[in-house]
Amino acid sequence: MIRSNQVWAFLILALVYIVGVPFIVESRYILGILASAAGLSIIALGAWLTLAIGRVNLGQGAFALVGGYVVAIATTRWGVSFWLAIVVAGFISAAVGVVLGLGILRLRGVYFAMITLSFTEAVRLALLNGGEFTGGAGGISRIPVPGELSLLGVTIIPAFNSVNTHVASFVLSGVLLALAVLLCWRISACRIGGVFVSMQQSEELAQSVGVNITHLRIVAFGIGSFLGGIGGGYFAAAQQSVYPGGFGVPDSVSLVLYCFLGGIGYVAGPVVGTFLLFLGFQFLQDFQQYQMLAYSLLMVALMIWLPNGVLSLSEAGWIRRYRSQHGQAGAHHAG
Amino acid sequence: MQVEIPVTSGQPPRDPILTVENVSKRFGGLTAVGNVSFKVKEGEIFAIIGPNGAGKSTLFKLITSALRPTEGEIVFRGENVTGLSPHLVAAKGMVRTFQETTIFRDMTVIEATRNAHYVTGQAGLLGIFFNSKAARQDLADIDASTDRILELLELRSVARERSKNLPQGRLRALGMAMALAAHPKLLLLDEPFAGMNSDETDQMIGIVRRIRESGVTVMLVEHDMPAVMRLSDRIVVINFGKKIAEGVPEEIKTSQAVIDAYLGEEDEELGI
Ligand SMILES: Nc1ncnc2c1ncn2[C@@H]1O[C@H](COP(=O)(O)OP(=O)(O)OP(=O)(O)O)[C@@H](O)[C@H]1O
Ligand SMILES: [Mg+2]
Repeated sequence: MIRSNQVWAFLILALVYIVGVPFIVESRYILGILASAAGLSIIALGAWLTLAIGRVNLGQGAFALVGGYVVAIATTRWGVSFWLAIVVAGFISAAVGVVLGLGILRLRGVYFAMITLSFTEAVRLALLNGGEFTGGAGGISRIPVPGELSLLGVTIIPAFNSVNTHVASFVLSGVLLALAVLLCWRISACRIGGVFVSMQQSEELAQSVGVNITHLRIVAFGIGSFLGGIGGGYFAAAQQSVYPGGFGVPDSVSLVLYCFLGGIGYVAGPVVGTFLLFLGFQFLQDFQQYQMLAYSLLMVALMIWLPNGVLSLSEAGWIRRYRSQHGQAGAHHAG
Repeated sequence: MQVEIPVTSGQPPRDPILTVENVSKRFGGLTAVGNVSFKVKEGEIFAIIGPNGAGKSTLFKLITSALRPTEGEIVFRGENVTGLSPHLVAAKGMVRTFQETTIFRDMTVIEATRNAHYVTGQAGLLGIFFNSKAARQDLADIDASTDRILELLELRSVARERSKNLPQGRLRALGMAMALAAHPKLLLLDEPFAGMNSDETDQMIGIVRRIRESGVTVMLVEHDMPAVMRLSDRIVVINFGKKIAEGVPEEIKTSQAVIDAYLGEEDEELGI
């Protein structure tokens, strides 16, 4: 169950982050990195939803590409407003996910991982060879920054070029991430989350008590793809360009690593994992050529010492003792 | 051994809840189930026995649609359910437990039982997500039902234990709890007494009887002959996939074909 005080705590935290950080952080560069971490977290949450039903999804990079290109094409070619385009991007990614999922969600384990990984590469190649429609290797540039969003003549969101664009981008990333977290939190806390965990532990058993596993796998994968498309759509507007290599196989793999690092048992897991790893490497620029090596070592260390992710520290013995002495309740545990 | 008078005697014949008609299942060249037919009456405890590898579990999987029969028909409450998706068969009221220990490992007993209440709810996915009135009612119903099931299966005392930490006897009960969560009309138990000592078996026999009293028809596959004889109203015996006998426990105990089958487990000639 989600208790309402937890929701309030989350909303206040989100508000403090979204409003507070731009006041404190003046560096455009750091603000940009934080915004990218938030954007990646949204995509990672999508991967987390498929992990929740027991599928290692290495296709999130592809869904981010799809979302990015939808925003790019719709805004530059057809003059569609970014606000409409990003929603459409989410739904088109979801539709692609549903169609793909119908074919591949029967697969499990390493087979599912391999085929989604191939899908990431296939989408990159398709965009690379898409001719004028996708812009080939150069992709699509000069994507306009988000314009004004108004309803009945009242401005709800000002045009980004009329305000500090970097701050506006940061705020947008924070708001989208907060919405994505709320979506995933609600799913994992309601009965659907319980069914997802059931499927993760035994699809056969879940099916034997009447769960339509085919349907629910599609639902989980579809929502995951939706988040991939939203995240990709955000990056298209924030970076004002898309290109086939924008998201690739290494990104798809990293996104799943972020989930494992944070802890797949927690809704906050993918967010914590993304911020830790992504920010860690941004601030350790000198080590970037060792990134994959470091990721690998980190994963091994994780499997040995923290198999349930960083957030499982909150349930470690010494913290629990501390808590019980101080009379605090346990951390929220998803599903 | 104590012999019980079957509840069916002296009562007018009831409609069959389940009709298995000429059902066969072949795996490549192997006929796991060959042309088996029988009827299960509403409210009875109906056992299927037979030597190892006779095809009992396969038959349960065929009945609940986990496997599709090569030939034959499964009719449940007057409706042909052959080849229907397993989740739909469960929703119609036929649920099986697993011979292997199949559980939701990381859930507590109460969580696993709650989560197994999937088909009983009225709310759709969106209703659940937005916590509609129907969804709130479902939650209340599920809590009440979970309570009742844990009580029935004597699992109250371990409700907060993680499933994977339960002893074998309780795992069987948990498997049954999850099956009952789908509110079946026909419950199929695959070796409910496996790995139990005689006290646990006695407890489980009591539980199965109470499940039947609550209005659920029970089918079971079991190797523990004394338990089967005590518990069942009627028994079907299969060997090498074929039905070789059907009757009340006394008839089965004295059937020459059954005695031969069990004595000559290695001898194909006696497989009939
Ligand atoms: N999926 C399958 N593929 C091939 N052969 C199978 C399959 N499932 C079962 N069999 C074979 O079918 C036969 C019947 O198996 P089944 O599990 O139904 O026996 P059983 O009566 O339940 O035995 P036990 O008492 O040992 O549980 C066995 O020879 C088994 O090896
Ligand atoms: Mg068996």
